[in-house]
Amino acid sequence: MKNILLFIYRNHVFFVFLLLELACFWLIVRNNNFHRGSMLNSSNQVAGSIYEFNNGITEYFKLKTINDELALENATLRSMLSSSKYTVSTTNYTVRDSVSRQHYTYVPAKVVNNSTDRRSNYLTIDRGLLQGVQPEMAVLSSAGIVGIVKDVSKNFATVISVLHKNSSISAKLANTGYIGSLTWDGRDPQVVQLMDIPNHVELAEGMVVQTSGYSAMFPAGIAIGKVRSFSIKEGDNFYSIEVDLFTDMNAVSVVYVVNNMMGAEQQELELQAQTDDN
Amino acid sequence: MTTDMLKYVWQFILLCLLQVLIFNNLNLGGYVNPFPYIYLILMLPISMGRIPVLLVGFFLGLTVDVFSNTGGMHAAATTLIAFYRPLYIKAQSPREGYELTAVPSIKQFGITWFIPYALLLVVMHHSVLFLLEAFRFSDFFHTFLKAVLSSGLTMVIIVFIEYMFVNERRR
Repeated sequence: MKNILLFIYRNHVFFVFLLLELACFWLIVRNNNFHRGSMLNSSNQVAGSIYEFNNGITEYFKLKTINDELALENATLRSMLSSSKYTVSTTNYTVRDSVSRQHYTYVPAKVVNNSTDRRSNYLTIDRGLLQGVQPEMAVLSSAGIVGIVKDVSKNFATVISVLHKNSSISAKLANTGYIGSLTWDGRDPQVVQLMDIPNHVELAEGMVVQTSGYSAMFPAGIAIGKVRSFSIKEGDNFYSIEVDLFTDMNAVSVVYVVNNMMGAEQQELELQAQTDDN
Repeated sequence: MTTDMLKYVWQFILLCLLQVLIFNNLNLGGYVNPFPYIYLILMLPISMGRIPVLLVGFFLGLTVDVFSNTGGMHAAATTLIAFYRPLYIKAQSPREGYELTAVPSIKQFGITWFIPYALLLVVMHHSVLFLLEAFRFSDFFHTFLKAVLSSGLTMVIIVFIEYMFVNERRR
């Protein structure tokens, strides 16, 4: 016993070092999990406030692009207004709409921190619990998809970018209806990979890839990107497809957090089916 | 002593802010990510105890981790070089030992001593960091290239800081 204590005392620097490294690895492993509310990420108040202050300065340099983006989006939305549509039918019907119920609501948010150059990238946005943001909500930009909410604090949230090692988003080829999953190989922040499309599907460059709506997070039919190139490895049953993202992940600044009002219901039901299987 | 402490606290904050607000956003072709904040570990006084150096390393890394959402990757890498630094310095010690006030800088030890010292710690830190980030060896060449290029830029920035901002401190 005495010898053990003596040994630890002689090498106490090494043991402190070992202890700190173990703490680091524990933090790394814990950070990889969803849903662990933790203070040690940029959704905490201090880090959020510093990033918000910094964004307040750098935002001025991006104002022109932001304005262009918003103007474009305004134009698209305006074209959807009933006032900008020509009524084909000559009689007007007033429909009291009890058939459609609100399925998704959107919370607008500003990106206060963003990265695209790492293997696993995150964004921080300036909306949190108090504004109705919850973990696992989808995040969209005006052009396409951005990611999924990871942790939330009162006023901030961190978002797992589509440019993340573990990101896997259900997507479909717009015209064919085939479903695959979208991943990122860590190279070009403008290009993601669509997996699991069987090799008998006829593909063409420029085909639009959109969200499938299979997961309870993303609404169906949101445009993600265009097929840039595709190939089949010898002996493989699936294509390797490179997809050009519509969202410029380097310049994303205004985003929308999607609240699926029936998401919990869908997930509960699917979970039930899974537990019945086991 | 207290003024020295204050100076290091100030430099800790300054280097962390520079890292998370400027260098983390530097994206040169997706390959070059400099991490010059570890300069704080390089320039701690030689007489500082090994445990305090370890703790400074750990908390420096942890602070950068909090801002970059990397869990404990930076902390793991900085703790490692904080552990290794005294071993290297001891192995390189001159026959008559170090002066009590010695600080590892170009001004005090000369560039031929400083470059290998800094390069070793920088490469060590960057390799560990990028390997932890990728968490596998399959993209090894990609990770390796990133570590080498980033280490190069970090070295340039550190030597630049040394020449521009470090005053003659030898007494």
